[in-house]
Amino acid sequence: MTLIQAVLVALTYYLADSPWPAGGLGNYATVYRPMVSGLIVGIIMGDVRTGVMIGAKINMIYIGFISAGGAMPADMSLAGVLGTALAISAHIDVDAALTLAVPLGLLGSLVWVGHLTLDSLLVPVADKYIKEGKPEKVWIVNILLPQLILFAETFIPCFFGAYYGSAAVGAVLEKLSGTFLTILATIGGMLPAVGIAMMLLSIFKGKAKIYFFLGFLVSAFFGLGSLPIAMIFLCVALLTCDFKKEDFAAPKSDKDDKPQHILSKKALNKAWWNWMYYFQSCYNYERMQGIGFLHAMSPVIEDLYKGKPEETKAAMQRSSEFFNTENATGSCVIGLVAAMEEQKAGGADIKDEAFTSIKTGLMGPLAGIGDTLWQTVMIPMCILLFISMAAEGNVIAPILYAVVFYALYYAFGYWLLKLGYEKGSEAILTLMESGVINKVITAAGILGCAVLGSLVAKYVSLSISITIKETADTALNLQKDFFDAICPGLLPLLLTLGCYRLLKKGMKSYTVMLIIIGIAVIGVLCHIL
Amino acid sequence: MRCRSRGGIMNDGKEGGCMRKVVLARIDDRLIHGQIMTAWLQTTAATRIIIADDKVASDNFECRLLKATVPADVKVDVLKVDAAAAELLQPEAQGERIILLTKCPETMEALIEKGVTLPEIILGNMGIRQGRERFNRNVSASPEEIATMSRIIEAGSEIYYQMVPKEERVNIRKLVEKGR
Repeated sequence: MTLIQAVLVALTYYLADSPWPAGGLGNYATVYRPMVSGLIVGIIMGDVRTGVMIGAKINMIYIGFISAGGAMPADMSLAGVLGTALAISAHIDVDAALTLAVPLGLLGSLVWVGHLTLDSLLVPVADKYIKEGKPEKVWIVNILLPQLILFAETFIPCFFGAYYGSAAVGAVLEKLSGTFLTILATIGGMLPAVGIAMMLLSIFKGKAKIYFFLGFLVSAFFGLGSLPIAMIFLCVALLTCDFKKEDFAAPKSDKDDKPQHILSKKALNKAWWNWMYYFQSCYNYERMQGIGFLHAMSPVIEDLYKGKPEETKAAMQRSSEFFNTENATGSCVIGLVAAMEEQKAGGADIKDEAFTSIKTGLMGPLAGIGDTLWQTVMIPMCILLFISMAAEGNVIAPILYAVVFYALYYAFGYWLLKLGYEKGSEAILTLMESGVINKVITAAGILGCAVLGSLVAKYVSLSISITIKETADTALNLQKDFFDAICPGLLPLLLTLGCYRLLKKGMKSYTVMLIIIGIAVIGVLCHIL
Repeated sequence: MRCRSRGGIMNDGKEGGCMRKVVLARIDDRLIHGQIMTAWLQTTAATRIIIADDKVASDNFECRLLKATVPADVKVDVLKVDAAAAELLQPEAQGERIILLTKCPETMEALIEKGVTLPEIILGNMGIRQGRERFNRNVSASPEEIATMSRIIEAGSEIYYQMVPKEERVNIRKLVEKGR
């Protein structure tokens, strides 16, 4: 790997974890995901096709990983970026690359903890700007400083990992025998089963279970990839979930008369953009997204309380409190609080406690719905649509995913901003009580199960290499003549269900991965696998 | 089996125990949110969530909001502390698995004092506010709250810090001693 390549790879890792438009923006859903970073790393390393293929396979391990409310068990972005880069530079095959990526994901979660810890140090800086009543300066503490910290924290280790790691990985592999490489590839073939099982943990329930097997069978016998499977089962899901037109009617407003808007449209939109981009730029253990919320509200505060220093300070103070939610769904809180500030600026007597209680009341439930909707179903669903195209080396697939995701995510967020701003808290509650979001989650669960089933058939590999001598000339090949004769992909299916059972019993995913590694080592050494 | 704490019969964890089956008791001031919905509900296979909090139970908006968050197959009850204790001390119902949530350690202690047996309590999130200092990562606590946690531990429960089941849990005994 050249110096320039290592620099660019390290930059990609920073971008993946940063809030900039192509990076973590939108709930860490684009460059953060290995399928997308695989494309970028592929371009940097001069082998786009391989990059996309490796990225897609690494993404399968992490398809079911969720980071909710500040907990981050593994960092898929480091696994994706550095794993792909090292694999391409050392010319490792796709399956073996997965084995390399997993420990990187574990290391990456340290970066996350460091980020939240160090950002806590910035809270006093934010408090200083609040005391001075300077909303125009909040970007310094919400963007500039935390991003400098994040840059140092991501760029430096990734650069050294890429630059020196590639030589080390290459040298080690050169010395190792073919058996070792076979073991690596065997582990890599089995690992996607853990990722798939993890995602099953949140969607494999009730009637949706049967769709997992249907998806598996259709793919095993007809060889269909994830996109055709998804299209077929989208129709099935829509039929099953019985959507009605009324489900999508806008909830009624709890306000009798249309309030006079004194807040400029521009300020409201700016607030929403600040929120969608930078809600988690200064994520810290003390206030979580509090500084992000303050930054989001800054344009509103500037607009409403211009020339009123005391009101400005008070508004900044109440905006910077502890806050933590899912950001697209949380858009409605931005709208709601902006409307409350507007009324207060217009003379209404709204106490600070009212702001606190509406925010603390909403943030939990909205995160509950939002994390379930986006992290457990919609983001993985959008990836699943295109993942088998990507795994075959189609370089357009990651871009298609990003486009579909952005369109859905931003439309949803903007709609909720307007709902909160124009119709108020009662409308948000009505929307949640209507159950339409849970219907969407159920439908996506059906779709998800079917596509995961097809992934098992196509991308989990496990085969037995035992032959039993029948006569002097003929032998029974256990894999070909027995398992494949019943159903192709039977062993991968059993493996995935086995992983699912272990996870369901409460075993940690890394323990399950270690068991798989154990099986692969013993299996290959004893010539069973 | 007689209960060690006063006022009730101990839940020995077997079928037909003398207290409701609590599969997770958690202190978390955001109550139901992403970590509960995407992780704990799955790993505990809970069928019911009981929230014990006097203030939330008398706020109709919040009650409705919390109930609307959870899918229909999980029952949510938001109860005042007395009512929650009374409910938890009912005999175990077949197949029922409960997640018990309180906003702060005080409520947990009140439940324990009323006879509810909770061998393990998970400390999830406590946000910073007036009077609280950083305690551990995303948990902030006031001196009184640390003292309460210490009393809970002395009374025979263990408290572990753990955001999601995938993370290693950390016994906070030492942190509480340090914080006092």
